[in-house]
Amino acid sequence: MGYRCEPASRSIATFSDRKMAELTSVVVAGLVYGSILATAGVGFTLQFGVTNYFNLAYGELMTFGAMVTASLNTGSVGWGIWPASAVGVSATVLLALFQNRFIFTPLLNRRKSIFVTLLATFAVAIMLDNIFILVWGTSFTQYTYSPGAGIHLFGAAISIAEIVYFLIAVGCMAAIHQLLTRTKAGRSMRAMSDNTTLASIAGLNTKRITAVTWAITGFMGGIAGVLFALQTHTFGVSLGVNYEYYVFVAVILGGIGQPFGALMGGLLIGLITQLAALAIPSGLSPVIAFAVLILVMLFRPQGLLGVPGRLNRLGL
Amino acid sequence: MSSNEVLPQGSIRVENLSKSFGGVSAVSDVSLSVPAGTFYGIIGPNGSGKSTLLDCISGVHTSYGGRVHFEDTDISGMALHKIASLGMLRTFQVSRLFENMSVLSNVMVAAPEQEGEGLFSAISGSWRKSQAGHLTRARSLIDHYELTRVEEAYASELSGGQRRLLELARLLMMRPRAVLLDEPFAGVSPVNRARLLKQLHSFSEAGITVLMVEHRLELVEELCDKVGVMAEGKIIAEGAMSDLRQDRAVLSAYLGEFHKDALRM
Amino acid sequence: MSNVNYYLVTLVFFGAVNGLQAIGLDMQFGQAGIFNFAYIVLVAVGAYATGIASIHPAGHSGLGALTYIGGFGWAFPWNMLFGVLATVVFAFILTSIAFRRLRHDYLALTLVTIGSALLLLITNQVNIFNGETGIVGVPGPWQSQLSSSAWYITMGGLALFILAVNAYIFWRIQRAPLGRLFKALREDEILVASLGKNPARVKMTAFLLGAVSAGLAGSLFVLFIGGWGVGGWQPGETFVLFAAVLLGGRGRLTGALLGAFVLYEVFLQGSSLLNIPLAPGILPAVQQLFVGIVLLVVLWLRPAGLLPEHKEKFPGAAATSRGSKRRRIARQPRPALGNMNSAKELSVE
Repeated sequence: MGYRCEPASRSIATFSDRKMAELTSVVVAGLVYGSILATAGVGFTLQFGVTNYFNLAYGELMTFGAMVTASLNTGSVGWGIWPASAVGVSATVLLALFQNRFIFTPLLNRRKSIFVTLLATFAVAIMLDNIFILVWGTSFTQYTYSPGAGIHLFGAAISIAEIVYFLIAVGCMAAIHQLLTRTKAGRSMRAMSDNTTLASIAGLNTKRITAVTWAITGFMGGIAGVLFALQTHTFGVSLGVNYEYYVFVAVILGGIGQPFGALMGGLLIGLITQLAALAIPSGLSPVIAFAVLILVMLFRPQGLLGVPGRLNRLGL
Repeated sequence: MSSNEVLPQGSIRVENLSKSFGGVSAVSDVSLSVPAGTFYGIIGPNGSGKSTLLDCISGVHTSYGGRVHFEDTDISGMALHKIASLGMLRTFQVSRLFENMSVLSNVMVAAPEQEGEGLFSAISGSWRKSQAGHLTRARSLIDHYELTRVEEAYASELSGGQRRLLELARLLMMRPRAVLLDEPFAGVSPVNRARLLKQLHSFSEAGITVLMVEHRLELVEELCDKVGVMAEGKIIAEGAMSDLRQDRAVLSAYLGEFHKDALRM
Repeated sequence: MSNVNYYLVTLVFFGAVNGLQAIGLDMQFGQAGIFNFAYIVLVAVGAYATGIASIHPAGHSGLGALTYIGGFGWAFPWNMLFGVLATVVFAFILTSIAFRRLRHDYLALTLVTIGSALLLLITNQVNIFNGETGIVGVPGPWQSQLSSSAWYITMGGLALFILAVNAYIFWRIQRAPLGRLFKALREDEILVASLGKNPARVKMTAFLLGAVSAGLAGSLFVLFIGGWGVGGWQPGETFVLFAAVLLGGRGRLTGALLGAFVLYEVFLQGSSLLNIPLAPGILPAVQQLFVGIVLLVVLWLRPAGLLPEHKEKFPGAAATSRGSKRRRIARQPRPALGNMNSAKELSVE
């Protein structure tokens, strides 16, 4: 890299333009990444809010969505990305419903312990990880989909695809918000999240609400998985587990069990990790997220929107 | 009875206590004073802030407005375990026991300043010498509460009344000077109610200060020297139960729940 | 020494190391109810710290382009002591950060996250931890003085001895009032606090004790293998440990040891011995899949494990006169896994 002699004023102008463009593209990238994290986080935290136990196999739902889509999109099947992902996400919903119907709910009914169920989700996570390895192997794949043309914003090139990802993510969350606030199922979910016992005494069909919740968590997880896969281009069966970490940090940052908190946490983590990449090597982004996690633990263990002592309220 | 060893101290003083959850006020500007050795009752309809008040005084909630004094100590914002180790203990509305431990273990856990709870005395085994004393005391309390028969049963196997008695035995194991009781009669059958009533009487006979939240007026009247009426987070009247019953303001404010209770008496 | 004998001694060694990990996790999870899904991270810290204490400084070691912190060149037992101490210090920092008034399950999620974070950190920070390659060339104790077979037997004996001492100390603790306090903490943290005992102190004590076992196990491991790499410390390892503790019986030392033996020595070793012709990488996947099924079956059928926890015994029973009543009670089924249950927890607030 060499220096060129240029008039000072022009040099400054170019510098700030370039900075501006760089900053814009980073902020956009952060928002896109953050919106996907938020989608995943909302799905995870919603299920916790209603059923009161974490699904440690959530990353596997994301992987499943992404890999089923990949199977249909690549190779001899060769479907387009959108029909393939529609089937992939539907399959993820089915997987989530299956887990709930045949493993978690029966176990919870039998043992009456959220901790037994928590351990079961851990078991399911490891089992699915290994089933994925047996089915899809450990090699990497990518979708046959090109990001397409870009537009320019403050001198930064932004691909249309990224905007599409962002809109899909935002659309999903808006739909969830509508569902929770406007429909009977949503109000029932919120009631159950506040107090399961009371909800069932009040005559709500908690079994059905739980199933609906799992369908939503599968849907959000599947969508997030496909979007993560689209964003990273090259991925394998470890996709979900890799991103699950950032999703958990986002959820803890926002306040566990708070969908709106997960939304905020996701966007913040997306922006923070992308912005930090300006200053430090990109390999350090797990460290940045880790630092955020430590800070939350130290100064606000209940998360941004969490209320200590009242942990299961839905904030959306 | 070993509870006779308890000294008659343990006054509680609450000044302008306020607590809100996410902007919703649960307790606002409550002041009350419980002199040493007295039995103070708090009544009021559901959601009037009685339990929240108890949670603040006992240290389950540590962030609230106002001050709380126990004897000469300012315990405002102090954690639950610190307040308990000072000698002011509490029970919970839903009886809380260590379900997978035996009745005797449940009482033994509560032995105050027990040797062998630290790492080194646990390893060295020096705690065994002091164990016998705690054990004798625990067994005499269990005997006093007529739980000897089920001494080795898991706590989860007890009946509702037995659970309450075990809670009291555990409480006394710690030699409290003041206790906060959150609806001690919840889940107790009418048959056992008299038994529990007798045991609570013996608390005040032993000089222990009691602050009790209870909504059954006849029990409050039977036990309490003084009663505070709570509504919407405030204390709206205070005095002897017999006087409060005449208080038309109190009655009319609570036509719902109070009226029913008044009829039942 | 024949190959079979080498194999048997190796089995004994790893049996002891896995036993150490199992009793350590049992101390944290079985006794005190801390869902430490990052247990393997503690073992890894112990192994790494022992490793860097044993090898010589980077650049003077003849180990080429390895990068690592430290390199003290210490002999046994100082390197192991350093490893255990480092693990305890690390665990202390972890507890000071993560144990801030978190419910048991929130803590579990936080620990999962911290575990993944550290794994990513190590894998990405090639300039500090040498990435996925880790460290190699860690000399074993007395390895240069002893013949190969004698050294193997020594290491097997050393591991067994350390396991025995550790288990004995844990046994004493679990019978003391401290052990009772651990179990009380597992059942109901707020209740423990309401009895005037500081739950944070109790929880940290259990966690640090478990970390000592983890440090010892990691230290033995690295001294035997001679190297340390991220690949050996994946979350799946913690999972097998949890399965072992639950299968054997949580909250009971012999249970944890039995579970570790059955799962590691009989099941994992046994299935490796069968010599099923599978592509590389397939066997571990199938094994973990089966461990998952075992765990689900245990949770479904017998969450108390093969050797359920003892009820605490006190000298001089007062209730002997009512024999019939006590027998009736004794016949009643033990409640399922802990009282940290849903039914009540769900209705709180």
